[in-house]
Amino acid sequence: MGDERDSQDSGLDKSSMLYEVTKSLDTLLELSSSSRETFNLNASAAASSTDHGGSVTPTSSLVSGSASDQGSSNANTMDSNARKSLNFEDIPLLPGEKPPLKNAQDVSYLCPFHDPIRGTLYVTNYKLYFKSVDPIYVLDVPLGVISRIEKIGYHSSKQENAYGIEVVCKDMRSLKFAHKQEGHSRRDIFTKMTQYAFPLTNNLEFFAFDYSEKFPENGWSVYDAEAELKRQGLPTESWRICNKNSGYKLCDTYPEIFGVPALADDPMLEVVAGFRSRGRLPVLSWIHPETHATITRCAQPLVGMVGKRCTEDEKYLSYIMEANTHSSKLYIMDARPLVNAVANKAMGGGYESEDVYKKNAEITFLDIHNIHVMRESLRKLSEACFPNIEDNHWLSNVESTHWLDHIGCVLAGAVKIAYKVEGSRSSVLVHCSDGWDRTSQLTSLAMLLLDPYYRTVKGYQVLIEKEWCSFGHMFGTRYGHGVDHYSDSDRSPVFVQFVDCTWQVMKQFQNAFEFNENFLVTILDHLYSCLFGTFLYNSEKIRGEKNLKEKTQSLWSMINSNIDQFVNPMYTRYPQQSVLFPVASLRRIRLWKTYYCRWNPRMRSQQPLITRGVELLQLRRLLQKQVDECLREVAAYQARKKDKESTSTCGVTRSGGGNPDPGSSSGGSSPGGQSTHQPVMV
Amino acid sequence: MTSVRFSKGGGSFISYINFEEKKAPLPSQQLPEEMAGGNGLEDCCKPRISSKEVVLNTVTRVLKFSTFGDLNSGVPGALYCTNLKLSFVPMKNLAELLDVGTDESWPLGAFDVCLTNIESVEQLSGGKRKRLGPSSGLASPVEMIQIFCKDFRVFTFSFRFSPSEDVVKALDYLGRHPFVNSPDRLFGFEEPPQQNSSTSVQISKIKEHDFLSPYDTGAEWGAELKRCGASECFRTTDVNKIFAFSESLPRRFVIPAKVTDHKLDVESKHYKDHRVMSWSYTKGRTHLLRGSSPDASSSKDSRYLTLLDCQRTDFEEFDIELSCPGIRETHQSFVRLMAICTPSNVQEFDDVDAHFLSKVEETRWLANVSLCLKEAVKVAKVLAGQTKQYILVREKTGVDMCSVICSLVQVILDPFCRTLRGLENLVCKEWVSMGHPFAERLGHIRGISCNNVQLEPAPMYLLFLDCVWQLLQQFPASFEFSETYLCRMWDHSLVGLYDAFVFSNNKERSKAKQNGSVYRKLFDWADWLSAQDLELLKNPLYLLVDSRNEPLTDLDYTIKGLDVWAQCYFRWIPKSEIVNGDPAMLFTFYARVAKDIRALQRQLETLRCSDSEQVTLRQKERLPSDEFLANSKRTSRLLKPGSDLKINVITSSFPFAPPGPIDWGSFHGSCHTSQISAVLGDIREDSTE
Repeated sequence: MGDERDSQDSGLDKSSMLYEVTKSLDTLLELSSSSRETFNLNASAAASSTDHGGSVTPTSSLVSGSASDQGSSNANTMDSNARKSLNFEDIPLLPGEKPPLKNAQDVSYLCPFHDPIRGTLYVTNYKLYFKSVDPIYVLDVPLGVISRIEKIGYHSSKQENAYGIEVVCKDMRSLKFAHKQEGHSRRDIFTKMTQYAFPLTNNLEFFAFDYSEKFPENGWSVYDAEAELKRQGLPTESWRICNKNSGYKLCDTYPEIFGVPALADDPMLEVVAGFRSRGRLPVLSWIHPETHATITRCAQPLVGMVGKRCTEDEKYLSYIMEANTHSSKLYIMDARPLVNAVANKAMGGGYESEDVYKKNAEITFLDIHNIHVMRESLRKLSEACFPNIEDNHWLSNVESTHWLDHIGCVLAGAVKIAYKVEGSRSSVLVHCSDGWDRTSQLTSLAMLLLDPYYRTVKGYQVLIEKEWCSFGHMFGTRYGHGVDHYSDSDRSPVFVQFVDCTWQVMKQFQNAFEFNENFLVTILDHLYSCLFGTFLYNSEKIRGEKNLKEKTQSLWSMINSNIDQFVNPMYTRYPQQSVLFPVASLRRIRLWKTYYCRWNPRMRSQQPLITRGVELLQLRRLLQKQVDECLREVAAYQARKKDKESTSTCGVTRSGGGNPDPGSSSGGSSPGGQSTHQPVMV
Repeated sequence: MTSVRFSKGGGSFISYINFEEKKAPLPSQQLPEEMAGGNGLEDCCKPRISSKEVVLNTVTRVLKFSTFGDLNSGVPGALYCTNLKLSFVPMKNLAELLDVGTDESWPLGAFDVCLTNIESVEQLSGGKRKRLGPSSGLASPVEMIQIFCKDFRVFTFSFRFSPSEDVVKALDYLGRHPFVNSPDRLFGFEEPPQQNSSTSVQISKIKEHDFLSPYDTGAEWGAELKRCGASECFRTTDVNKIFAFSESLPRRFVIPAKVTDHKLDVESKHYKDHRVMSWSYTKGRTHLLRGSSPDASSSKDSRYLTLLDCQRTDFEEFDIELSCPGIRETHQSFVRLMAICTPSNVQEFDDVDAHFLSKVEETRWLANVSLCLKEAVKVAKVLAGQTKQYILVREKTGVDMCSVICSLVQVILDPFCRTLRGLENLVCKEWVSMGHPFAERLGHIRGISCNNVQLEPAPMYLLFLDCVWQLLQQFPASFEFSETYLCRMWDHSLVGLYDAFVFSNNKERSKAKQNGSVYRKLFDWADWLSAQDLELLKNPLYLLVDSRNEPLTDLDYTIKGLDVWAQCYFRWIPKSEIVNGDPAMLFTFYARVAKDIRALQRQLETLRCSDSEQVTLRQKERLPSDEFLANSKRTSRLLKPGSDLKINVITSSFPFAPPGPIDWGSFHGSCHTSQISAVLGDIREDSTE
């Protein structure tokens, strides 16, 4: 039965399987990912660089990968570097990465889409690396992505390939390796892998602290809390920039600097913080540049069963409402389903009662489920996507995971907020229980819809740094960085959902984003890789204590140093796309196959329309170049002629050399780097 | 704004466009005399009535509701029931709603629905739904009717203020006219002249040439054979010149050169309608033939070999009866698809949305698309493999799935079939001339036919178009046409004015035309669409020349690789429309880039051809897309919900659904193609240059 299904699924006979795998791995390459699998067809031509230091940055794969995605021709600069250091005795290493701590020869990689591949398995302090010579095949997985490592089979297992290691990854796949029983290769590999995949458990540091790559751009300077608030126009009459939290004394999961109503003085902030769960008082996320309607975020009020009140909190909320003169109502968006909000009362939490808040507040429950539901949903989704896809029940299988329902629900909530702010010019207060998961999703998505700035490469980085990192989304706990406790119930793909939602919006408004899909996939890859300091630990406070800005690299350093690979050439600032209202109907929500199903070689690219569009833009650029050249020639010719004439008539004319740099004049269009088709001044 | 005045039960009330309807039921007998008697028609716009079109009924004081609104307020107007269509016209003060951007000669207005486009009519009264049909009785009082169309539109009309006797007549009309069982009861069909036979024979002799339908002539087949390089091995046969040999085959068709007419006649006896084989396509040395299946009584397939006179190994047969969806399956699948794509109110929309993916799976529509594509790829691979001489595709009827598969194979293998002209030619060749029973399958005629046969509807044609759409998604630069074109192709087949679609074979077409019936020319887009609309039928990515000829055989036909054709199926559902988003925005973006490219190409050509001295260098030369962007920045008003947004709004349903206010509930507009220039920029080529 399984076989039958499989052949139905693939529609291919066995003989064409290898071809299929190779081919689609090419398409896999298009998706840059720090961890990639590929047949390296040119490996035999690789030079014999023996130096262990033959360095490869994680960008290498990104560069080569997205190059083909973007169709740009400046590909493979780093990739060739990778090949250089790819020696049969050796593996490419990142700066700071130690040579293989352990290797095991004669290991079979049990690829679910292919016959077992025999080769050598290496483990370094950063990655798991598998290489085979025939067929030439490379598997390169950062240890950070590993969720669980298990031994399979016993020493006495007689069956072929029954004895080995299974590696379950956080990025929707699992890898199986079969070892020979002789020589204890499995034990050593297992030990080292466990040690470095879970450094915190083993009292080690993240590899990010050893990573010594130097990037031309410094990503740590991308976000500055004060600068961002000033960009939004603060301070205003009714909002001020507050540094009451310096030293994280007021709230240890908030940033040191945030925006609060100007009328609220520091003592008041303390009282309000006391009434909100974990001291997470309402602070400014975004302010509308024209109407001054705001999005503010906080944690649930500590109402409890008895319905406790706090006049300062009530006053504080009325300040927020009054700061916006266009509306006499403050909309409170509670991300939770009503029942959950009610249940929280038993634990001292709860929600704002409309009676208490003087009828000026209207509370809406957005029905977004908690982290446990989301975790379970993604687990089911990964089962539906990897390794086998049951084609006949594909749609209902995807539906039964409810992943898309949750995505739609989060998106619908964000649209609701954006609609209130933009349409009704009202201010919105967002919270869930603690205000660091669903709240971050909602505020950041609503901001993405409302402000075109956040749809630029830099703006999106600021958005993540601000709404996620600085406001204490617990990256360390939610993604289990460096900890082996895979069944930890605090893990949850909240941030993955946010990026998925971004992709959904992008899919509906392709021209409105400066960055491309590759950018999003790269962010998610490094969410797990623990190569950069950006997503390590739970709060700004801890990141400061660990001195991450000094000791680790920022993901944005890498991205901004290779920016070409992450920009969307379709980006056009259409005025009618300044505020986006995506449709959250399941008729329009798509499964992000290029991310979730990318390990399945039979899944095709979801983006042929984009790839072709990029080609179209290239054609335009090429033609523009030719036209410019022609025009320049003509201009030069005519100038020469004029010069001749003018010298003969003794007149003085300025030689019309034309504009040598057509890219410098501004046409305002296609800011996605396609600046070559500019008006030509001659 | 002009107010609408209705007197009601002694009192009177004044209302504006969306006047409120009283919730309380209003017994019809209480309607005042003057309202029932007065016709109110003079206050309404005039419907488009073409020649030979006869108005059979009119109902005044009809309210057209937005299906997704509150069903409480609507556009007032009158409903005309003609022998061609059902036409709603609003009050004169709302005339701008009628602007659809089609030529005046086009018989359909903004709110018109052709009788052939009607899938079903439901009456709503007292919260109950009842389907109208030839035999169904009327529930009274009828408050509302909903008309479900094959092009996935839903119309909701309220009769609450209408004269009841008119309503009864109209409902009687709606119960019968869309559901006829014979093509001679469809619009445009002329009864044969009653005079003595000699004159009619004369007429037929004079104009015989006009009675011909696609691929009835040897010349057409000759040209097609030549195009495919198969002239030597095949010949056009005259055996069916007067439709004596086969009912469903055209007057002339193509068979292997060595087969004599006599031999064909003998060998085809056991095949349904004598369709033992006819030529479809040739690639290199491999020929694609199609035919029906032999009767159970006859021995199988040896006859082909006798006829073809070739080795067994040189011949491959595809019996697609089992591997592809049948007529009944396709129909059932379509009915379920209709159900999820035509929600009759907001509640239904939300219900479907909650389980959308499994509902899609339940329709099995994508599964059927997948099966067709899979089979087509299989055939195409053998055809391209060049190891066989003959490939024969056959099914029981020889006119249904054969048409789907044979035409798909050609779309996959032949770049010509991916052009506008090529696809139209393909439809003429494999569908119209080969006798696909359009009238029956599209449900233009239904019920029990005159010969006492149960008519079987099944939109095989839509299945084919959907398959082509899937190919277009996976190979977006290989087709000259856009998805809008495919959508129009479907809509085209539902307008009962084309003989290609209201009859089932060339014999019927010929007969009708001999009687003097007149039909529109097939694919006459240019006659009624605006130049801008025509431009929307073209695919801007087709400019990428090198991808035009790529083979499409490595398509992904698995369900996970397919998608629901949102433009066609969701275009009338405002709640699923993405405002100012894709794919419409992306399409117009590409269209502008394509226009830039053509402008640059022209510029380059002029520069290269002309003498350097004569070139005048202009101060500034902006590309069309720059011009557009600068322009839209100048003129745009930012998108603010609630504000009046007629400018710069397009939706994902473009170009079918209206640009308009976000508040879809109260908006009643329709096709808006004349209004899109503000959004598109003028994407037409400047003919002056």
